[in-house]
Amino acid sequence: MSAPRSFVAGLVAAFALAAAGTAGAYHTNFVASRCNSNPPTAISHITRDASTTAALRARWEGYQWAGGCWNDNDVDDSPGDPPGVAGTGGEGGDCSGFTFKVWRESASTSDGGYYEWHPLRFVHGPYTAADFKAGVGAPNATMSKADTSRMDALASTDHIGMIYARNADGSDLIIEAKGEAYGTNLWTRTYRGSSSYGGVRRLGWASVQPN
Amino acid sequence: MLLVVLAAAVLLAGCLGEGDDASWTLLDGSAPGEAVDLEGVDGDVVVTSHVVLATASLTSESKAGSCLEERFAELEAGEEVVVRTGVATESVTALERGGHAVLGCSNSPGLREEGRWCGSSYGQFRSGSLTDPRLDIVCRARDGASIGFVWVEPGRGTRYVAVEQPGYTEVYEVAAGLPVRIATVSGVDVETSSATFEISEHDADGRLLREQTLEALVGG
Repeated sequence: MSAPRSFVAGLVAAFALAAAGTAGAYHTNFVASRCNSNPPTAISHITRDASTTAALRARWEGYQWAGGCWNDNDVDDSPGDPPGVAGTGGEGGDCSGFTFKVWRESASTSDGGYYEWHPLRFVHGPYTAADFKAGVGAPNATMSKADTSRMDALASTDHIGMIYARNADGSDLIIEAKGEAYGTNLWTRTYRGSSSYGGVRRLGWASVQPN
Repeated sequence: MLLVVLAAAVLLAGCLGEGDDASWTLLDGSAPGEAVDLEGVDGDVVVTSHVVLATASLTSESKAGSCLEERFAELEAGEEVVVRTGVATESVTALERGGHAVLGCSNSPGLREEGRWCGSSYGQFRSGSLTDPRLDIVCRARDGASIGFVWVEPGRGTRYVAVEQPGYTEVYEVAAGLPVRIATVSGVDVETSSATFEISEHDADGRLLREQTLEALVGG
């Protein structure tokens, strides 16, 4: 077993053991067997189009509390994870980890640069939904919900979803990692109309790919 | 002359016993809380301070009031909040009205953007317990290192929660029946968005009740 893979396997095993009491010993081998700890690739810019593509790659791939890796086979390879239990090693991200990867952020909160994380790279990032909602970190900023557009996000103290499209009735098509029972997918939501939700933007979107 | 030196040495030995915390101050410049003798805890023991406040009495300029207003304006807090001050951290903890969740803010002396608080957390209860300790690693020490905060739900009989830190043990007294917000200044792993806390719980007489290594992941 390579050093990075053994690291990931060890980390997952440690948390799986810690979670075994509350999880009824449920765990899968998805993270341990398929994910890695490879470094991200620093990139020069991000566009909303490319981030939309990245987000759609996670569609159907499941949900894992505190998780952060997935493949692209349109199947939840770890169905039935106990809800809200970290370290069970299942496929998928949670809402904040999914947003972190799609927004190509750094693991360091003071770094506003752009980093491409492979879908199979196990990473959650330092931010919770509450952090995103407050605009914590160099890459994140709060904004008026009225000014939000595609791939901005709507966040509450315990959830975040990214805007895929605006509907004519004022609701939004949101792409989000919703929960163990729902997975990661697109849904029509009325977060915009809820006072619990605020607007959040990933800073530095490029409108078109530079030459 | 030899007698004077010997006398001075005896005096110093009496003043600076093992575990003396006379040199420690808390983040707000105040002295640590009254010293406690905890079974199995050696070296410097620094007792954090805490105050229990009525939510209704809070102003927006106060520590606790600014936390609730800045980060949880759309929520309603329960009747009491606990404000804690440690060596390098401070925190606010309150229940959400109705008791279904706990909310709070975290602070440290390092750089932050706008606002009074560098971090905030919200944790839901399920079957009477937190579903997750709600690790927060966005606060930083003066040297830029990440500081980790989690909630610990004290076990039966616990009066003090002790957390190992580099060179000292930081002690938190249980208050208002709320989960205790503890911190680690050395246990954060930024690469994996995780943190490790070495914790012991003690009763009112300092007897050791339980120990654990809490490994937490950022989630939710």
